[in-house]
Amino acid sequence: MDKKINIRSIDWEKIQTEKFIRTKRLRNIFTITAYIILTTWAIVSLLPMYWMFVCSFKHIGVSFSIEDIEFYPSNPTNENYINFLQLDAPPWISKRPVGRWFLNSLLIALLPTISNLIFDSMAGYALAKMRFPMKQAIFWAIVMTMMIPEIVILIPLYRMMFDFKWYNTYWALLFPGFAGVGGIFLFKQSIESLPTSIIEAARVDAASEPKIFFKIVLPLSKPILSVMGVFGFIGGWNSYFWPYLVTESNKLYTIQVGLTSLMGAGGGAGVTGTLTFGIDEYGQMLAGASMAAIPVIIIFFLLQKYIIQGITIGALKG
Amino acid sequence: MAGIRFENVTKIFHQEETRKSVVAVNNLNLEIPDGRFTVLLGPSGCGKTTTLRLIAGLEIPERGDIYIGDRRVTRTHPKERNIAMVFQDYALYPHMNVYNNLAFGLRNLRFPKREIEERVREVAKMLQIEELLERTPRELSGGQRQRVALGRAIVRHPEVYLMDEPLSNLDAKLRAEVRIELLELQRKLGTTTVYVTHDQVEAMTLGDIIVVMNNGIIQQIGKARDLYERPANIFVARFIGSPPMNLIKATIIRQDGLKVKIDDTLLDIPKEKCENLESYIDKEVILGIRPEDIKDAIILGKDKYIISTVDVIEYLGAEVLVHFHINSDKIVARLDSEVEIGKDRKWRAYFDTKKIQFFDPITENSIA
Ligand SMILES: Nc1ncnc2c1ncn2[C@@H]1O[C@H](COP(=O)(O)OP(=O)(O)OP(=O)(O)O)[C@@H](O)[C@H]1O
Ligand SMILES: [Mg+2]
Repeated sequence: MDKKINIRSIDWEKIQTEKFIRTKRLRNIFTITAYIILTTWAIVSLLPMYWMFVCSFKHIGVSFSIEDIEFYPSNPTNENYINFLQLDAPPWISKRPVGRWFLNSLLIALLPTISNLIFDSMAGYALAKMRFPMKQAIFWAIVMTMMIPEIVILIPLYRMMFDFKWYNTYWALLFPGFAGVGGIFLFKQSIESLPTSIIEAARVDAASEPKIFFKIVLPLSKPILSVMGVFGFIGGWNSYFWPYLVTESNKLYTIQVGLTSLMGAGGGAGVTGTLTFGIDEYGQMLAGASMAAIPVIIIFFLLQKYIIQGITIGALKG
Repeated sequence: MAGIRFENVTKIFHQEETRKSVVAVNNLNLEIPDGRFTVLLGPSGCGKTTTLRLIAGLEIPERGDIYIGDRRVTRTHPKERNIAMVFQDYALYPHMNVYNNLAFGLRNLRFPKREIEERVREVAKMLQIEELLERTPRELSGGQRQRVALGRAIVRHPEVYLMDEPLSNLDAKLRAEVRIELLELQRKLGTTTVYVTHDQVEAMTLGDIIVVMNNGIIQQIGKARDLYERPANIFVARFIGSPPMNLIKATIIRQDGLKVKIDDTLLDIPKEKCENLESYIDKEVILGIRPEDIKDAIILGKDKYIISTVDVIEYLGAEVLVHFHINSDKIVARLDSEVEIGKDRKWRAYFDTKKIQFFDPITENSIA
């Protein structure tokens, strides 16, 4: 009975190799699974977009049924776009101001975002690096207001617009978005990570406080500025409910509000399982929606890097 | 150029987490002379950085006044103080290249473009960083960054340089090199310099004047030699010198004049010290002696010695450190040659009594 194992006879190298292969295989399985899940997810999310584009080049009519959904347009036509923009409408009828809608969307995507970047970065800097009384209290007050869901303040805000006589003006459309607390929080977190000594070095280097902010703090906050800028733009461009609430004349509509206004009074689900839209055609809507999606898609591809950063920043703070 | 004066300056920090108050600088009175290299020396947390930041205007004191030259600057913004500071982590502007790092301060002071260019080139040449001007701080080594940080201070031609442990991030060899360069530079520019360090070697080599601090209070101000040879109290005696001064419990007795008794041995006391020790007769004192003032009695052929027990002998090449003890006091002697120790580990230690010092065991201040 020789149960002694001769250590030298064990092929350590072989064991190591097998172990290596096993972990590698495991890693491969993991990667493949991840890819499958993510690809499915991507397809599911992209399909509606794709159909939107496809259907915008199709003649659909006033009702929309499941048969209308195709992977490629069988008889491609640009009539939806022409109709949506009313390019061939006779000159004596009053056209819908689609150009204004796009301009308004651009304004609501840009102006509040720019003002947010300015004010939030300043407030974030003050909270992160300056010393003043009640700093903690102010910070917590800001965090607290972040906890209040937007829907809760919607009605008071709406009434306020009436009291200010801002209803159905650009003020109501744009002004409430000019400062947001979420951004203050993100800027504070990001600026806090800058070494204080850099700011103090600038102070000793005879820089005034505004100069420190614009020449040192802002340039070093480029990542968070871009993230906030991109998200602000996309959020503003896609915003729907607030512009819908506070505008009445169609000259103040954003593209999103304008599109839904096309649905008219008879919009809703029909009894036969088809969607019907009273006055206008469904195809026109899809043409408009496709055009509205383009800026966001372009921005996404141009600034992908920052959007991903933004998602990670969001993940970190959450 | 200008000197700096502190008048009864107190700085208190209220720590948010612990809700405690720390007196970082306690009723400081200090005159930093014009054009000299002054070193603030002390252990971690003693208030050196705070003192420096008070001069810079990055902290405002709770009480007292600070003057640069004749100007009272207690509450003025740093940019009005005409000082330049080198930070421990260099604090270079990461988004600017070296040229712009150097030019930033001058631009803030609205210097004409041509003069900025001239000054930057001049300083870059002086510090041999001309080839680095286009690089960003990220692309520099530690030593190069340190130079740029120094350059950023020099280019301003300020009245005062403030430096907070500027060499602590360099490796030992580079640190020794830059130390010499720094000294030459200061001699050449002749600008008042206040330098913070916790490294006593650095302080001794650099400082015209050394200010030793502990717990926000100045312990002693003086030249390196003063601090080494006549420490004002036990704290300074321990802090300066490596290995530090030996401190031994002893008693003063009268027997043919004054004598000091260690263990059972009586040592003579130099005449000039006797007067101050009169009031300590038959009382305990702390005797201080530097390691190099303890010698081998046999080699010197002395017949007055203390028999001690050797613990360890450290051989360091040029010198030998003999660690021994008398009763409970651990003592180190620094000898320049090997010593012979018998099997019983007994060693005859000779104390050079001309060099001994005395401290009060309660106040810990020097008495003779
Ligand atoms: N901003 C601050 N807030 C609270 N306490 C502080 C602040 N700065 C310094 N202190 C405290 O003040 C005391 C002195 O600090 P200081 O930084 O001046 O020490 P130091 O001598 O420079 O030490 P080190 O050698 O570690 O740099 C310390 O107890 C420190 O904890
Ligand atoms: Mg310090």
